[in-house]
Amino acid sequence: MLKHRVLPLVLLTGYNVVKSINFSTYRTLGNPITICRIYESRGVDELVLLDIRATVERRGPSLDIIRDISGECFMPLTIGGGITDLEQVRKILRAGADKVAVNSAAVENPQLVADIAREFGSQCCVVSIDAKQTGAGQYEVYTHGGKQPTGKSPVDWAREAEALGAGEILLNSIDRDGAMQGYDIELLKSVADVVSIPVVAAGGAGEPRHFSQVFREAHVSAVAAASIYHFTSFTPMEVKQELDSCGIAVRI
Amino acid sequence: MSKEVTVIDIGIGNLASVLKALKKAGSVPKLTSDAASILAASKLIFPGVGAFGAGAAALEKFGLTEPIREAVLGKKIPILGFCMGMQLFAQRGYENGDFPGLGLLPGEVRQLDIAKCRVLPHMGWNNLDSIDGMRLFEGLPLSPHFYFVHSYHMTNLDPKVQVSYCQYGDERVTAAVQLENIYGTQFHPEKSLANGIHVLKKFVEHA
Repeated sequence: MLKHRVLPLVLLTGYNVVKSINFSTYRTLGNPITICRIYESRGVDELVLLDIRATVERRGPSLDIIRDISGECFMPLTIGGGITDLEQVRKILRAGADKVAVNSAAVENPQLVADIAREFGSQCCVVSIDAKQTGAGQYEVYTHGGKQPTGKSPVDWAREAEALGAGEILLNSIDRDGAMQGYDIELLKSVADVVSIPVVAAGGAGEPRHFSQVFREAHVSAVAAASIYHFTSFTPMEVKQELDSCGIAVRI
Repeated sequence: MSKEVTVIDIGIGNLASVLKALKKAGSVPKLTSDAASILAASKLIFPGVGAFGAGAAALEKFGLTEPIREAVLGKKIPILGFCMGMQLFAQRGYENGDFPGLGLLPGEVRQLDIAKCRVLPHMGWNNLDSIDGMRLFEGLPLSPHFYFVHSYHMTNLDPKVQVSYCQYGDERVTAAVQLENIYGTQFHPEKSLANGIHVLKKFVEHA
């Protein structure tokens, strides 16, 4: 049986690991190599690294960091942040990543998603979507680190991304980011129910029961989280034990 | 016994991860796109990610179809394929068209049934139903987990091919195959933590 995945999310600004609240007020948390080494030793399901300042600084993620991390990482590695073209994707995959996450550039140029899927396969093309609530049951996609409104709804954009060949959606709630009060179930469910590709929930996890709730109520395939692992004593394994005790299948 | 393994490079796929994992498994991997090196290899690894048609076209472009067939079927050199590499062992593949494979195994590659799976790709950690008789899985716990990411799998296999399956929704997915000197895994051993390294080690040391 396919297991529900529990993914640590590592947010970077260049060479530093950071954690944001509502996509601002960053705290610096240390060195990405050290942090990834800990996750590797714990045998986590997958690792996702996003450089959250890359787009606004008009650069891609650091290839050196990818090389260093993938050198000791025998699990799937997703890299995102500032990716705008196929040549960059090629370099990132060569440096040892398995998937790339595209966000702002994909909204501006949806053909990028189709190009990545055609050239490298859908399995390595993650479309990362940052959404903000604009009213009751209303959400809008924001890009450029949550700063730029796009006029697109996350449901429409996720459907379009799937049709273009995306292999996975990473859906992050800007409002819940770093708040540790639980995932935005309504947002996540609205997208997971209309696409047939895996949806990864992000934004808001603060305690293990938030993970079981989002799996049960929003039908996502995986849960990503950062703050809970940085600011509480909970580990990915403890989250999985909680899920297992709720009858949600995980790899332990 | 030589621990050298020859990794077939047809210009697609994440070879960096494969080479690192093979080193971790105690082997000395050597990359090649050259027919003579393939025919002279003591062991062959055929990794790959992406679409069957692209793989088939790359084999044609590099002129490697016949050399690989001769090495594996004629000279009986052990070969291990992962993911698309394994799928290319089949006779035909039907991903975005109809393409010939290497024909090392009597079978074909077809899409998983979305009605049975509900979500595709089949992405993440799944456990094998049975590993009985699969030489590369000896020593692993029953029903071991591996990392999968694919939407197509090998099917209509001849009964002489030994198969391990995993369950995804209501679909029974071909997870690993074995026939004499031919081994294939639909999952990615290079991305499957200790279990994956175990499989590579078995191939390097005992196949």
